Amino acid sequence: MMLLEHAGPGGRRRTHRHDYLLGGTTAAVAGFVNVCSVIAFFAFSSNVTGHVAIFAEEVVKGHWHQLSVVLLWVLSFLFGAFAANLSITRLGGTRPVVGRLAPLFLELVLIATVAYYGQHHYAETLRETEVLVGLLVFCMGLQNGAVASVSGGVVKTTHVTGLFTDLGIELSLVLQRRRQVDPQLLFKFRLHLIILAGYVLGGVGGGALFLQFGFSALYVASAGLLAVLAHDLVVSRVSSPVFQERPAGSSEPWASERGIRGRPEPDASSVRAG
Amino acid sequence: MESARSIGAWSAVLLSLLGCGSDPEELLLGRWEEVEWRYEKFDGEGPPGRKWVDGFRFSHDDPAEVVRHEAEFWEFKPGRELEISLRNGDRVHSRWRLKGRGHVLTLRRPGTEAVELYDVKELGEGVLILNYDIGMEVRGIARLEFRRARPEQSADAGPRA
Repeated sequence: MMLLEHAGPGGRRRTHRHDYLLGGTTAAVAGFVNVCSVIAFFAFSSNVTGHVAIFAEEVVKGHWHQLSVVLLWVLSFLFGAFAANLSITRLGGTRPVVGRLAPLFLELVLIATVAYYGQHHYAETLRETEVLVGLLVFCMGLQNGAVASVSGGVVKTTHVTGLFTDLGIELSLVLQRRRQVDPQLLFKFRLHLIILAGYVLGGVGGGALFLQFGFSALYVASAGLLAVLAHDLVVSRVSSPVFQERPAGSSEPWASERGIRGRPEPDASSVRAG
Repeated sequence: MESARSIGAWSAVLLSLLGCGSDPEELLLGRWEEVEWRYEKFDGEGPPGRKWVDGFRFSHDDPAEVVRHEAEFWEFKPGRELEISLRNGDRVHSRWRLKGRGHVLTLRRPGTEAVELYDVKELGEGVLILNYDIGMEVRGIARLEFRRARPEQSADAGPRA
């Protein structure tokens, strides 16, 4: 099974294990990159809430340079999510594997690029800082857009505000006895705990490694993404009947692999707005 | 194809946003006179007859060491060199960097690992205001205000009245 298996109808069904593994690994990457960005650049790579608030503050103060930079960062995240979903949906018909893997592959390359540039060429000018942060923010948008698209909105790995909101709600429901047997609720609760744990552990690891090794620590984040991509590429080759690319013009639905459990359609509450 | 062109156009618009406003690094270059150093919360009163409140500056090499200063000039030079001219004629050299969105100023003295961090609250043609968080034991944030120095001014002239 591919970690980036699409949840939607007409393709394979995701299982809970898909979401646990995908959420945990990508959340660790997000936490890792975010802490490295703070240490290196004094700016978050996945804190859109904070960036929007800072944008408003800089508008009030009339700091045109700062507000333009923060606006660019916010739009970079948006563009990343846009590009990820564009890849998944536009290529989903004819080249579904490529469409799903391309966003994370691009993210991997960009993070490695930031690592290389920081290690060998970074002169610590403000313009370099702003562009490098923008690239990392774009990567986080790519990642969040990709995993949210393939999981039907269930997995989001850079949206910590929403994560804590959901955890609070789910904890309240889990503690009420009559809700404890709801498997879907337990799945979401476990998933969000795994995502939170991945984010925190990734952040701790990122901080420790960056303080020790500098920008080369970011190669570890790229390696994490490479592991996800390599896993899915191997799986897609092994399970060839389903993951063969659909011939252009074919109207045949994709075959389902024997033994893969279907998953319930995500309910509306699991797809958060913005 | 249409969507690719529109994506390209929007990308160009977004990238051009980076040029908005004055470059903080360019604004910072030059010679600044420190006209005020004030604690956010300071229990004592300043010396009579002066508009500014005597402040203390911690040395990063030893947090317990206190360095009293008066009428310093800070000169931010191209190449990331900072020269601080003290009233007694001493000069302190550091390397400066702006980080984040231009809101963090870092100073690093040669030969040390210690880094001074300042929050850039205001940076304009004639005014620079830095906040320096020096810890709870001295009750919080110190506010440093600078004015663009006149070329003929030197550290011996002392603070402005």
